[in-house]
Amino acid sequence: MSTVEVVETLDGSPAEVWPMVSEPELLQEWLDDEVELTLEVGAPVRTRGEHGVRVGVVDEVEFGRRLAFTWVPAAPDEGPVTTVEVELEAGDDGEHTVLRITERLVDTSVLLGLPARGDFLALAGR
Amino acid sequence: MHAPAGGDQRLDAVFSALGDSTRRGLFETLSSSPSTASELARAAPITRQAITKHLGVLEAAALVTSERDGRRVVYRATPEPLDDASAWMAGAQTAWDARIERLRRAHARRRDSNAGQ
Repeated sequence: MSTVEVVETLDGSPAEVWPMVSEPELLQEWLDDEVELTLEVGAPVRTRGEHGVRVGVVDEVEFGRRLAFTWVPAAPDEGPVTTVEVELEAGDDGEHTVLRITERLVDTSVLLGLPARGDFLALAGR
Repeated sequence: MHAPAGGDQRLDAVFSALGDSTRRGLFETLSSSPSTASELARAAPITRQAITKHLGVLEAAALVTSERDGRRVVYRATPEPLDDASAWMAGAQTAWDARIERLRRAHARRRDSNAGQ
């Protein structure tokens, strides 16, 4: 109920697709107008665009396969706190990659174990 | 301590409140018939105190309202916050669909230019 998922099959191997979902310059072509991201667990994430400024933190990195981060709108009225998981899987023919992106609403009970919104903002140097 | 709840804090509260099967059951019961905590406790395997606590969580998420009727407090379901929840999902789905379309094109351009090198 609180999850949105998109699945897309892309040409090329996961190694070819991985830069598209992990390099800020390439993420800026599709995710948001400005993207700051370091591929390290605990590193800050910052995006800016149509849906406002969002900050967060990298939760998981499995190089070439999986990336997860928490995404927090800088202004409380710009959307709820969510987590985003990006997964790549090689297609059966070895020439395609299945990209799956899942955005989940983080409920308040889970949030109790996370830094408060203010801490995310401080982390992002805002 | 909190600022007045904006739409999205409300949304967190709605999902959190309905993330519990007991509360979903209470919400469903109250959707068909407004009841007091004692009436709900008679039909459930938990105490009246536990019911009252769950009703408090539902009420904080604006999924139920309570009204005093003499010595009784009658709870009824107010499903409007669920509209906010489905609005978030619709908005997020639309945003991801647009991003995926941009990603598909950017990826194709990048492959073309890499192949041309």
